[in-house]
Amino acid sequence: MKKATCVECYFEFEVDDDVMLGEVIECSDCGKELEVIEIKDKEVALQKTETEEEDWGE
Amino acid sequence: MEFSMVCNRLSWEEKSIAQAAKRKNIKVDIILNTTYFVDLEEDNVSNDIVLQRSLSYVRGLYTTAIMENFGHQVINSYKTSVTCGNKLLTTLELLKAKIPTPKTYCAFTKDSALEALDELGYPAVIKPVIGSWGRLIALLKDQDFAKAILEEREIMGNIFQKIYFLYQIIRQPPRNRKQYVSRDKVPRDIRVFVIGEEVVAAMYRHEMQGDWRSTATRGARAVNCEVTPEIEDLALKSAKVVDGEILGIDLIEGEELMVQEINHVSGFHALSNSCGVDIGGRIVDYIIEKIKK
Repeated sequence: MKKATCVECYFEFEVDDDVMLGEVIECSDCGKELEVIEIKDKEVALQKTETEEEDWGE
Repeated sequence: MEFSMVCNRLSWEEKSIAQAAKRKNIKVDIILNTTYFVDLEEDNVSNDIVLQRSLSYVRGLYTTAIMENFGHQVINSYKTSVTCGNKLLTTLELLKAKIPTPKTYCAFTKDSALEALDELGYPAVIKPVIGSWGRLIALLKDQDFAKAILEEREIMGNIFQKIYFLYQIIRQPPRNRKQYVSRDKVPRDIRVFVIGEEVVAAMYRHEMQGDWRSTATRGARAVNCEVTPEIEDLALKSAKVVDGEILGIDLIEGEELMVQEINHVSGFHALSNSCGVDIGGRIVDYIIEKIKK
């Protein structure tokens, strides 16, 4: 498992090893959706992600 | 064996496709359109086949155009994306092919839209020609309400909001009343998922209380739907009309089964959960067959 820190509530939580760049994951404490922007050996960096934009979805 | 996949980010669907590919020993080159750029004279995509999964319609459309120009086979094609991404163009194709669809009017000014609504009758629906997830769709219950909505649209900056796409609402429970259980008397539509020439799954989307839109992202309740020959026939005919390969087709049950819209980058999280079909895996199987050809 890798570790990540929520950029919203700063909770540190574990992330599966098969996590992928660009993947959207949920903070296990506050539930905020976060996007993976960097994957290191034991650590994953996250950023806030847009939930919806004008031309999104189907 | 390898293919490329374009996306804004990896939501549940893209992750399930990537995981299915990994299980089947297929490499996926993920192209995030948030960081992608290209010299328009120099191809920088390594695979022949590209799966387009952009959440953003505009980014998806133009990355598809660019990649097709370099000779890549993009699923779905630019032509399919232009048609399916625009409700008016989709309706025109459906009408041309004589596929049942709700009665629809189009107008370009507030006053002509009001005249069109008088002919169409209330309640009616106004829907942006480009847009998804139920955004800015309004149920026009009467003329006063229609005037308010149309005035609002006239001052909106987006030019596409000034194309008034108006259609008859068909909002009734299933035709075969013997199939009801009391819980399922709620209005619903049907999302049918087509891959190639096959319908792989379908679900009913029941409206949530307090929201007439039966969009899964708005919380519509998803229930497995048996794929009847009628559903299969209509979905496959519709897919052919837009030359689509992987599509989510929305049907509604009026006096006859009708096509409401066709989605070219369709979500399938709720559908996979309600039907128990590994849609991500089926998409990868389809791509494998395409690569072999």
